Amino acid sequence: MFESTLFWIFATVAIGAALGVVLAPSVLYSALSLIVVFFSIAAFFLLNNADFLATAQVLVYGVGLTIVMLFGIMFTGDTPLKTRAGKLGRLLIASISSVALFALIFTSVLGFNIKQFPASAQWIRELHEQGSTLAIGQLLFSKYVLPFEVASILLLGAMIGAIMLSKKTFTSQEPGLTFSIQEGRLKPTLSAEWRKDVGFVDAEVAEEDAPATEELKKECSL
Amino acid sequence: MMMSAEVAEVAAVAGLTVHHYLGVATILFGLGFAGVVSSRHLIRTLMCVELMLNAVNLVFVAINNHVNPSDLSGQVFAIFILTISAAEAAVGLAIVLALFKNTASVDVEDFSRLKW
Repeated sequence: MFESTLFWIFATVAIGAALGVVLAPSVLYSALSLIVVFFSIAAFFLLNNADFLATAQVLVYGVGLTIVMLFGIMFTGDTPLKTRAGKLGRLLIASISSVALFALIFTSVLGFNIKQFPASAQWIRELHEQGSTLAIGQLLFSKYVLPFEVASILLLGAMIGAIMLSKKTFTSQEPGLTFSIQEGRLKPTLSAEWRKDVGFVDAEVAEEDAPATEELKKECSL
Repeated sequence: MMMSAEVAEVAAVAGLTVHHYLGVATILFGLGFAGVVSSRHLIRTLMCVELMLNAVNLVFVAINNHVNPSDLSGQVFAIFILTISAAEAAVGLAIVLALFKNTASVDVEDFSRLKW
């Protein structure tokens, strides 16, 4: 059957690439094989009539997340880690615990015999005509609207947190930005240290350079 | 631990059962777990966490399609997992970069400052 052929192909690709993620000598290679895993899981989603989710998988995981990971690798430098003692013990513990976890889940999967209802031909035809986007959107904004809003707050919090974690830290104790009222207008003033920190060009310096820019303008007009 | 007769019957008709997808997802989850435990590189650990989350997503979608295909709740759950894993990756990488700025290392064994 066509579907099962596709399934076995993508299963082989996914498991091989997942092995690559865990075992590749360089982190860069494991990030690249992670892309392959994400795309084959998108293929599994398509085999399960989840077209919207397959698209989201490719966009969010296959492109967005791996690019973020690659940026992380580039920022930290892909240098090999120092060799340390106890590598064998770590590998032993990792393989024993993961094989035990795998056996535990796999036996429960084999014992999982809930009654299966294959999708009716009519429903599959409907899905193939209009896609699953409409149905997912209706669910998301009716039954699951509270988790949806909570997820948006979570994303906002995560974004602010990520920016706070990676922003430049200012060492100055005095307030960096002060406001004063001069001639009825609000005038912002940056402290000297902050100017240096953010590479702020001073207005006075710019005025000192004024003759030079005049000369430059003349030269350009000639 | 044998597949029930009912499930086997469905398998014979459809060719692919939910158990195929669950098996693949289990293998991916196990590999991700092995990576999280064995890897010393922080970014590889993060990538293996993503692998585990993806395996869970696959379980949600496969069970949704094979058990109750007319209600797409499983896919909505998968979308929430997708959202949360994106947030997790952003914060995780920000933490990795902050650690790298302070210690110039991404080796988990270097981060033992809280150990006494």
